[in-house]
Amino acid sequence: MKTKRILVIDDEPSITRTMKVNLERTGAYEVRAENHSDRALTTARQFQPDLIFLDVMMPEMDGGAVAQRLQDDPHLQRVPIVFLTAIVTRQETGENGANIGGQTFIAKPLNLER
Amino acid sequence: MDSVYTDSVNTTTSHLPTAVKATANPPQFSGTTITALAAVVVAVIAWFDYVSGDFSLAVFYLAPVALATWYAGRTSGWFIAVLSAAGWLAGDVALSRTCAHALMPYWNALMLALIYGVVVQLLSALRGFQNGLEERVEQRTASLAKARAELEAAMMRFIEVDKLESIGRLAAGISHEVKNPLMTIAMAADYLAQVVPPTEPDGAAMIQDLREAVERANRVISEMLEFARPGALSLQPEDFHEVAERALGLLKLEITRKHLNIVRDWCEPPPELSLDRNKMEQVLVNVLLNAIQATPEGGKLTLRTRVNAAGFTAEIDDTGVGVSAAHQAKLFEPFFTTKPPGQGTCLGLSVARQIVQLHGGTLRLANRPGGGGARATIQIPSANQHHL
Repeated sequence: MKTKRILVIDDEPSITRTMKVNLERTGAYEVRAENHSDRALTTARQFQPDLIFLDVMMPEMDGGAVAQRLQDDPHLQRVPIVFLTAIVTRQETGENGANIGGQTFIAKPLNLER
Repeated sequence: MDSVYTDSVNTTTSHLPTAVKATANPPQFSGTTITALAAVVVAVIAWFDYVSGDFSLAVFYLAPVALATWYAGRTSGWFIAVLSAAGWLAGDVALSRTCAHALMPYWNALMLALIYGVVVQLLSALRGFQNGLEERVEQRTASLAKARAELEAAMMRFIEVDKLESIGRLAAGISHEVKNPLMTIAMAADYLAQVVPPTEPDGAAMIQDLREAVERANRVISEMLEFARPGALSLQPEDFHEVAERALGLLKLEITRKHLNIVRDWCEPPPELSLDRNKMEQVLVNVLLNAIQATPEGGKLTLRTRVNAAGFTAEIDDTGVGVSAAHQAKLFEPFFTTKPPGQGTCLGLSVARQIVQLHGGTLRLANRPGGGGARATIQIPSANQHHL
């Protein structure tokens, strides 16, 4: 079975590392981590992911700006993006995330067990 | 005639709105009493006038005239003025003074009465002016007090809004700084759950402890965020019993740990309400968690729902210590708690009440009617359930 590619963009290396380890252990995903939002577009072009996890609050460039650049790229505009955010609550997004303005949001911390 | 003796002007404190009302009230005498007292004084002066012979005491009559005019009014003043002139005349006639003209004493008495009358008129004009002044001072005092109360209320609202904005900024900052490490810990716990062999005796328990610690810290942050910005509701027709079951599911661990007996006294059919599912779930989690923490091991929680013409009511009874009278008024105040440190965010009930109010309802917490625990009551009137 062909593994799906997931790109995790978050400025916290500990988050990208633990997500990568957990997702790759399932055997279903190949995961690339990117901790610098200003390099996200280049990494995405090289990696050609099937799904992107994107942190909202990052120092160099916020998640919204990164998403805009990804969607402006003709090779990446169809790649689904799931935003990870620390400033909404799980009650607001629900366990499976929330669709806000056409975008999917998941509240941190993620609960992979659920 | 002014009917009462009043003297409320206090020149040292009249500029202080609250001080005016605080000045000691002088004893109150009726106008009749003042007039009677003035008449007695007139009689005493008349007697002295008679016994003193040729010494004129006419000026002393001004004292009772002024007393009656000032404290009992113009009519009373005129009465005492005429009485004084009569008193003076009586003394004069009784002494049988020889006059150039037989009517001279009566003419002099009339002149005295007119002089006293002028004093009465002047004093009543002055009294009227003072009363007007007092009235204006009182009006301005009341106006100042009202303005101050409005200012204080506005300041309290400003402080409240400012406090909430500060908490909002703080909560967003803390949320970002705390939830990221929490996410790392949660993910690491997920990883450990996969790699720690089941034969490791304490492994599973420690991983569970890790996850619970993450959940607790996450709840604290989430409640802070929720308190600072309760936000708009996303209302949908929902079965309240389903929402309550989900809340109970989230608290399964706490319920099991304390061996609590959960009794469901549900109404039939299940109440379909216009609710924000996630927010009402949070209300129930907060209220239930409060009840769980207040209930001793082996206790009982009763969840009761009722629907009638007035609306929907849900009650959550516990078998804990109940609510003390001293704590009753503060239960929903942010950061108020009776729990030991580490057992609550001190915001749970405040957030719950905010959310219930957003639904157009009320949340109350009081002792159960028969005692032996507390009862949380959520009421949502039919009038606020527009889709039903």
